[in-house]
Amino acid sequence: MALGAASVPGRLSVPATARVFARLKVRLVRNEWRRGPSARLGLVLSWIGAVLIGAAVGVLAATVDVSRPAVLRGYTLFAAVGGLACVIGPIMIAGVSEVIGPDHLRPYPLSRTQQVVGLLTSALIGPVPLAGALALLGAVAGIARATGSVVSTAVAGGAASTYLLGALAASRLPSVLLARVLNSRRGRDAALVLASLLGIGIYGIQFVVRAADKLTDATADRMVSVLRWLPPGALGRAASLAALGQDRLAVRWLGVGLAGLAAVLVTWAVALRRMVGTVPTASTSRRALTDEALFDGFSAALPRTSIGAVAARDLRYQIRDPRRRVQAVTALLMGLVWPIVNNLHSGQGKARTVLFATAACWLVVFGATNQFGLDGRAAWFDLSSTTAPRRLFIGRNLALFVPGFSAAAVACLVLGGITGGWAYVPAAMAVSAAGMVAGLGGANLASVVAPLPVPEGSNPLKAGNTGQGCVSGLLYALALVLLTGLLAPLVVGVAVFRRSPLACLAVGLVAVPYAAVAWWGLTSWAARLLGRRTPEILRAVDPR
Amino acid sequence: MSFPLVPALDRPIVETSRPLSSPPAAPGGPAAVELAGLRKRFGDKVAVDDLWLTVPAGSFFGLVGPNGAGKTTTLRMLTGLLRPDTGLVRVAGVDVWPDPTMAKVRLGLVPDGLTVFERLTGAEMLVYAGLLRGLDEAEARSRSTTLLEALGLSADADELIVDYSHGMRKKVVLASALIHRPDVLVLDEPFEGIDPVSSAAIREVLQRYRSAGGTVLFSSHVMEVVERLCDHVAIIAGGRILAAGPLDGLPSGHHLEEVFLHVVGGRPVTGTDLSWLDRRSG
Repeated sequence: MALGAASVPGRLSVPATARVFARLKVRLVRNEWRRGPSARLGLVLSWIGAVLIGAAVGVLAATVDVSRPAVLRGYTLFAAVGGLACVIGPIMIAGVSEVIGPDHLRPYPLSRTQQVVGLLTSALIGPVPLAGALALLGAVAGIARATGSVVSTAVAGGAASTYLLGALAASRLPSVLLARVLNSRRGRDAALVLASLLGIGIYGIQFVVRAADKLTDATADRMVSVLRWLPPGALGRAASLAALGQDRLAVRWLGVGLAGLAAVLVTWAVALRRMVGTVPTASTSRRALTDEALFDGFSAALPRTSIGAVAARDLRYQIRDPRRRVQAVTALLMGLVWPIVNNLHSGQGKARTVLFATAACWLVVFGATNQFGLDGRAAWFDLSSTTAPRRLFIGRNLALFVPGFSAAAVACLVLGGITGGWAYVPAAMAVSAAGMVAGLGGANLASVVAPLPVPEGSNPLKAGNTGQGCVSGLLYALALVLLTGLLAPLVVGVAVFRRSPLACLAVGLVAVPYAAVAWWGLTSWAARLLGRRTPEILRAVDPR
Repeated sequence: MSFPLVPALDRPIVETSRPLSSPPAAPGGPAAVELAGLRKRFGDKVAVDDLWLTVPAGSFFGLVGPNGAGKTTTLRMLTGLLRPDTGLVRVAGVDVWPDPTMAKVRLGLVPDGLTVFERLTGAEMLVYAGLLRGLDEAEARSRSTTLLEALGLSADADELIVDYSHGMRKKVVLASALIHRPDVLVLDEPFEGIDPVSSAAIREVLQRYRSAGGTVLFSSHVMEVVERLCDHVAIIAGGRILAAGPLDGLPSGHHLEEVFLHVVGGRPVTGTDLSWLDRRSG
């Protein structure tokens, strides 16, 4: 065979690349329609939602009085905050949904420019960019209406277009830049935990919102003078200057924004090239061989039975599985940090704040309502073994109770120390224990009745959803209703007797037998169902 | 009743009108696995359609078929992981669906997909599997050490499975399926994507298990492997067994692949214009 004799197809021009990717994306979206009624419903809802939200924001932006200084400042502030959200948001919500992503480009001989143009073109087609475009169109229309100037409108349009492209590129930048890190197991684990902590950080927004009420014009001006130097802020600044008719100055700021867009695109292109040309590798570290596999360290005290084995495995997963680690960290933060922060913020230092430490336990319980879903495709292993279902539940519950109750105990002691509410500590611990026991019974039943898949992606910044849509939300809500019903007597009892530590302790002590009976009854029910529903559970958590 | 391995040219398919309560008897011995009138439908698609099959005890049985033939669905129903719409499954004389737990005592399973608890180490996984199967800890440790050694995993025993290669995962899943010494070992595509070294190790362990009286039932679409390992084979396509029987029933001078293509019906590529592939034609 003669080497090099074959004809090589010509390379695609940039416009042709854009056309190919646009057609591909449209085809993929259309094919989504063929996946069944739930996919069709999802498509319709997302596109209608995008149009409604985009149009609503667009109308607001088109009709707002642009002569007000607050509105002019708002262009820069919103643009800058929106741009930052595009970068941080995908990390917090586990990625942007990429129908066509960098991984799809690996086999093809595309240049950097072709890769960026192709991905950017495909990113432009979808409900989220549509909503963004409608909102930006409204802003441009508002400026056109206010100024009546073609030049000002053109500058504002240029800023809006640049902003949209920049936002789409920037939202995809983190996953590409961090690809090498994220393709290692340790990197993925770290990113998941970090992303979740960022998510919890949303709690801090309330302090920002409270501060915004007290925001003076001078402070706002200082913020604008800083944020305008960010590329999205510069584009907002360009728009606000265009709205004032200061077109020359607006063009300069548009130039700053365009330079920012160029920097983002170049960075994206370079990172894409490196990512597409790199084969992902796994990383691991070796430990010394031990004779106590499964039962070393913190699980050494567990019985060497199937119950102990399940508990030991689940305890390892509490530490090794990032999703469960996130749950544990969240429980600790909510049980410990939230009461402390509230206490300090209100400045009251009430002793009964200690009772809020029970939140740590209850969050663990709420997180246990989908035990087989967290096992995912590995669920078959336990379910195809001969271990009695009740023993499986006892082992799993043991692994949840020990760290959950420990976290609550630590939270009780710390809060007792801070508030001086030591008298409430025994009551809080008794209520925590009772609440966990009763709640875990309910969680066992919910895990069997409504198992849901919890996918674990190879890259946490890529989109991953259960494909269950509102069904999963509904089932989860039902599980929460069940747990709330179980825990309601405890909460009501504590709320009624909150002024007396002794009465609260009595509530906790009375609740212990209630919790034991509830756990036993619900777990027996769950175990009977588990024996009968094994195939259905497997199908639910691993719908291949 | 025995099935003709090589049907006549007009494909005499195994008859399907038998009552569900009487699965066919094994030819020449007790049956390790009996499937009778098994059916499974996913929406409009019939994955398994009135499937009858008997696997003799102590045999090395290959279930071969093209992609989408119903192999995995059949094996999942046989191992209690997927509920059949109708039909009867017996493993070592135990009806699987009325009493899945009793049947699971007799079974070892290496499923397709190989997803296990990936954040356990190989050694932890095997001890875990042993304890879940009712072994005492010392026995579970002892067997796990032996199995890891036999499969060449001792050096990696303390690495997390999530960091294992495909072949290492297969081996650790096989080890966890063997640890309780099951009567019947069911493997779904055990040699798919496996390098020759790992493949040889797996083959050796399977042969050792079989020579100790175990029954191996595995699915594959690699005819050479089946022909080399198995003494019995069944060809499945469209959710039905098209032919089954001992491998020595193959016509002399014919390989399993030829019989398979004949039974399943291969589609020739000739007639499609692929002349542009020819680099010499300019």
